[in-house]
Amino acid sequence: MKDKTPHSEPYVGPDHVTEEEILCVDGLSFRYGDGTEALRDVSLHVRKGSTLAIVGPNGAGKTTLLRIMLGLLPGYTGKVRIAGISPLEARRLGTVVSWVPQRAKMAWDFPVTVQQVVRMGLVGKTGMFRRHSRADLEQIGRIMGLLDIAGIADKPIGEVSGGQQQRAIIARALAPSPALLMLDEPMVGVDQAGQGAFAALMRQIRENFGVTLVIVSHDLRTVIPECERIACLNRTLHFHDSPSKLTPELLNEVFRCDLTGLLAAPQLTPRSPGDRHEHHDHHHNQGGAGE
Amino acid sequence: MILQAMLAQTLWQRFWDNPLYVNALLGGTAIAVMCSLLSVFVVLKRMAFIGEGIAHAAFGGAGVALLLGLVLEEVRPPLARDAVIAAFCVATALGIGVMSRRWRLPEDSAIGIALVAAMALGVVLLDLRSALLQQMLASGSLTRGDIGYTPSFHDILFGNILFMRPEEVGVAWVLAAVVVAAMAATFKEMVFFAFDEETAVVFGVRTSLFYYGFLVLLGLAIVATIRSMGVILASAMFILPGASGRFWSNRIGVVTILSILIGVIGVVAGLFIAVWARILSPGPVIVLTLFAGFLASYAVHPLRKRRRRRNSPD
Repeated sequence: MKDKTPHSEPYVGPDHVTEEEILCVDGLSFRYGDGTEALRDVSLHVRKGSTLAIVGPNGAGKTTLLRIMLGLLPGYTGKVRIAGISPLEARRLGTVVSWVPQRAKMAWDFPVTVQQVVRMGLVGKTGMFRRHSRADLEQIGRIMGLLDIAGIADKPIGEVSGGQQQRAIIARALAPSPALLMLDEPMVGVDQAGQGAFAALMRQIRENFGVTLVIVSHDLRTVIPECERIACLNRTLHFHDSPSKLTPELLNEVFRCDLTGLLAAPQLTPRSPGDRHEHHDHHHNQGGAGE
Repeated sequence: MILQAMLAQTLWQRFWDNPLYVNALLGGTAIAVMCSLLSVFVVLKRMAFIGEGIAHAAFGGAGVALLLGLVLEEVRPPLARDAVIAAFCVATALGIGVMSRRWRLPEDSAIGIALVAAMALGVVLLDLRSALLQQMLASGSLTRGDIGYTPSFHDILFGNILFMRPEEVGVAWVLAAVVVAAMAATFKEMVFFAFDEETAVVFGVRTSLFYYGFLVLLGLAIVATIRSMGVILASAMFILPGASGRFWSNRIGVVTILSILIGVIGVVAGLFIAVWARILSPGPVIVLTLFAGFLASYAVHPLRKRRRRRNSPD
């Protein structure tokens, strides 16, 4: 692996990843056991430190693509490389790729504290039969401070707000200092004010952790302001470029319904930090979407 | 007052003077510790019905062990018989796991299938054994003395903690040590596994290993339990302590410690009540004591008010 570009990573640098292209998907196809085609000839290229949004309607194969990239689904054809290695190898390393699952799908009535949830992120890095290292625990303290959940560290996870639960599982995903962070439908069940806060949070995470983000969503409004690239998926890839080049016609083709109104909606413009809800910023991030 | 004290004294004396009671107390404590510890994760991971399935599988295991005992002298000692039952239970536990994870059968269906198949197999094998035994006795190739004590249907189904022999108490403590050590060594992974299995995989937890490993531990603990609680009631030990402990705290460490305490107190108290009442079998009394502890936990636990406040529509 060769380092092509110098990076400035102010906080944590996943130093085992040196290629500029962190995620490379080439000609990926997948069929379910019954022969149904889920994905056809999908190619994606994600530069290190950037943000990609994968959007598409329900049943477009977003979750399948995500599961393949996480190394959970074998049996695909084509090439998938994360930091130059296969998804399975990347997953087993425990520090290359990380995941924020859908909040709505989780059972929150479980007797663990916010801090315990965040520390779960270290299990792969620490390994079985071992205790977490002091350095890792200190790092977790910093992450929780940045995400503004340090004050609720000892509260049961079931008793904090939805936004705080969301930030706890994002902090958990950041705990092993991953190079690539995947978020599965992070905006489901989040109101307008919360969406603004989320966009600001994503910006903050990029600035502080230098992590590459892949956000999967069926909701166009929330992902566009924060990403350099958008991929429109409906079994196959319809678009993979900067969001500014997205046209209403193309969206209609992908979602198979009229979404013209969406593109003109104010949500598509970068938000100002003032839109935030229940969220404090520890750093200045005046800019809109990073370029 | 004095009469009460005397009554307590005599119960106390009566208890310690009888080695059966002392064995039951020692064995029961070991069983309570390992089952209560496992019960926390059985409850949190919603695996209660698996415990039920594995316990019933022990009936099939007993059929295999008793039939084998007719032809193989090695399988006749009670501990060897228990080893055969243990192998059968662990195999059934893994079978349930394979059916639900590999064959993609819903887990409750897999358990239901294993449960009835093992029970039916047990009855068929015990019938076969009776017929074979009659034949062997008639032909003179075997005498009653050769095979020793044989548990009846009732013994297998309901068990009796007072029949625990010293060597069985020893085995129970060894198993308890194995279960506690395994759970302590992998506690952080177990918690993640129980909390969110799918995400745990992505974070590097080998969840298949944990799933099957947990089933093996359950199988071993159940074999230690059926001797005292029987096939029917054994699963109470794998649900009630964890379900009671869950009421008390939202912290997994506290829940675990309280569940073990509740389990041990329930078993010991149940045993004492049964000994005091003289006419009651200890197994069902222990289950009822644990059930009373469960109801009491719900009635007085501190989280109840908070939870009600959170759930109320406002």
